[in-house]
Amino acid sequence: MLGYGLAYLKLLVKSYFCPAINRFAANTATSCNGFMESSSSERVELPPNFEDAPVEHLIQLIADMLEHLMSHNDRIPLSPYVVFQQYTAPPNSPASESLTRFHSRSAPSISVLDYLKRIVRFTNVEKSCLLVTLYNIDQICARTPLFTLSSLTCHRFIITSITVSSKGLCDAFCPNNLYAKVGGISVTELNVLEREFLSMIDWRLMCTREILQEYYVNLVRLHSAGKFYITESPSQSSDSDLDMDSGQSRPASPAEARHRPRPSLSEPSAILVEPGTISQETSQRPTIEQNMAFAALQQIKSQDASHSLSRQT
Amino acid sequence: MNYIQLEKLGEGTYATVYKGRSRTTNEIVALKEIHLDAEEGTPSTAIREISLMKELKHVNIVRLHDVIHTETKLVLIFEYCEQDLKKYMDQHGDRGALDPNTVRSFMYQLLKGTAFCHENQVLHRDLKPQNLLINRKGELKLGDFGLARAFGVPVNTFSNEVVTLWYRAPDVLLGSRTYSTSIDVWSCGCIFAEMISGSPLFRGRDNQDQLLHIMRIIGTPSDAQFQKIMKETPELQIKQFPRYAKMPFQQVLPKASPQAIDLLEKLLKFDPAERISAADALSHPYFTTAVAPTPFGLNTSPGSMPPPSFNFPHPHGHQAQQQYQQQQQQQQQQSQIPPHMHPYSRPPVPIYNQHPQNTDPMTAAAAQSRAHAQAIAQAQVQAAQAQYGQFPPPYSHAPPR
Repeated sequence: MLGYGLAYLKLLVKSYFCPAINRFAANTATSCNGFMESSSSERVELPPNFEDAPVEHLIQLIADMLEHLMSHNDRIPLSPYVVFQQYTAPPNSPASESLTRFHSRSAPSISVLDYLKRIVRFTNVEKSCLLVTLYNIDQICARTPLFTLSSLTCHRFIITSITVSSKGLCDAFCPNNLYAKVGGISVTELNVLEREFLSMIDWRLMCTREILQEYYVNLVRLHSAGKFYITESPSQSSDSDLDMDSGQSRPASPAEARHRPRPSLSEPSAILVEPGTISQETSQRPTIEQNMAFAALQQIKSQDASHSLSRQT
Repeated sequence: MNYIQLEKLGEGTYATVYKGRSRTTNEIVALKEIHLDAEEGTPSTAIREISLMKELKHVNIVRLHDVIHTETKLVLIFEYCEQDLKKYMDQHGDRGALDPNTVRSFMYQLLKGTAFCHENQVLHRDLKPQNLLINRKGELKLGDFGLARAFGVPVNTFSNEVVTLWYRAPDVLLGSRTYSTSIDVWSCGCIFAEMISGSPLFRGRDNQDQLLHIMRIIGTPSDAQFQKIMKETPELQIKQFPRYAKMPFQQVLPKASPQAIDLLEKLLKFDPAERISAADALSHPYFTTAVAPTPFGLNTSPGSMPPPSFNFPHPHGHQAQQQYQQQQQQQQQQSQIPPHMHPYSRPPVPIYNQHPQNTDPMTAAAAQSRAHAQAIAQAQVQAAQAQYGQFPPPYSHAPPR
């Protein structure tokens, strides 16, 4: 498998270390925007804050994003990987390195949406834990470039992420054997996956409301059918709907109404789409080649950004 | 393992702590060994403790060096601290009571660590002397983040079975589920009083009794105050309480200086909205004005640890200082603190008996609160089960590779 990170979500991320990614991200984001505008007949209005969004819409948005990501990652052939591997992997490293404990032998028959519905129905999962799954994918892809979210890994990844984040962030959560039952795996396997997950993410489960809100806004923007839109408060102008600060924020505890975002935690705090760039870029759907180039870019971004730029063209 | 396991330091409900030494650096560490349960997977307490402590790097928070996670056990490698505050008070205190300089230093460090947690959107939720570790340098460090949680991410369920009973804030005792940083501040106040007097300030048997203990000292809030609290926290269950008048803290803690009393008043406000923040408490005149009659660094009682070495806060800007003094004067007028009270006079009679060593109901309470989170979840699951019949419907994944 190719080490193609969380393409769509990554694309949303304002890269804090490589402006080239940002540029490419804007490209793809626009193409999705264009796609979105095509079917604006039966649109659903969503509240500005993710906490208020109905959970069924939230999982639709998440599932749509993940399905897209999976279909892209599944299409990427193995061969280019070997080429890209030269940039990152040490010589003689096995090509199967991207094979993880999260891989199924075959893709599970249940769709991501149905899987998420099942989890919501039986585990009382919090909205924050659903959204944080996307953040976790980004974190893990950033740390482990060889991990790919594909139709073989997605389900196991989701149930593990939900389990770990519910246990880490919530006061009420289910026992592991229940998460395992809901997720369709054995508790022994879930325990192994949990351990693998924690090590891959280096136990860094902390997130902020602001980050989750960004993910929410971007999910709505990039939804493939363009079915959803976020209510804008009258004070906001139409093209500044990414301005999160103007919406009322509702922190975890009402008593803590105006807490500033934490300063020292989680270095990638700037997960932002650049407000101006998206609408300005030409709307062209990225080719697979571009996607592959982007994957390469991701892998070598820390070492050599110039290579990646040449590959994009 | 990169660490040599030395003697056992203690045993808790879910972990055993050993002294250890690094093979590479020879550094002495504490090894917290957690046994993994086949059903539970990685305990949530461990997930919280590790994920929070990885982010919280501060002199007044126990540093987590490393984590070893295997199939059967999880070992957390912490910096080593000689003892906890409880043992320190028993060993070095005068019937548990610490000298004013040590109290001031420990209190400063306690608030500093707490403020850092809050700044990073973490509630400790179990501050008590047993969870505050003291090292040889006299540094105080917050430990045991097993009940802690981040509040940066909005989550609906807040357990009110948090904090060991004696250090539990009245709003939590009344059933608040929207509490915030002020609950840790309350615990800090309780610890402050305990360091001064040598014994816990409020020692209730259960939730209700604990509330009565609190009200007997800080007074029963007026109906208006109760209404205000109810308005801000509608989920509270407020019953009829006996009307207790406020007891002057000088009477409870005759050894405390007026400034210490003033800070304590601000930490132990019944209404969470009125409680001072940990960060603001750090610039209280109790810390910023020089009072120490003996030079810092000398300790009279033989064999005791030297007082902590750390940078005491520089007195703040003149303006801030004046503001504080004004506030303080107002406060004094309001609470009519008799100005003649000598700060360090000995109490004529001990207010409390000796600390009960074995009949400590707290360990059970802590274990109970830990079990509680799962209990809530299970109740929810049962409710879902009733709603959906077969629960959950069987579904099997494709086998793993």
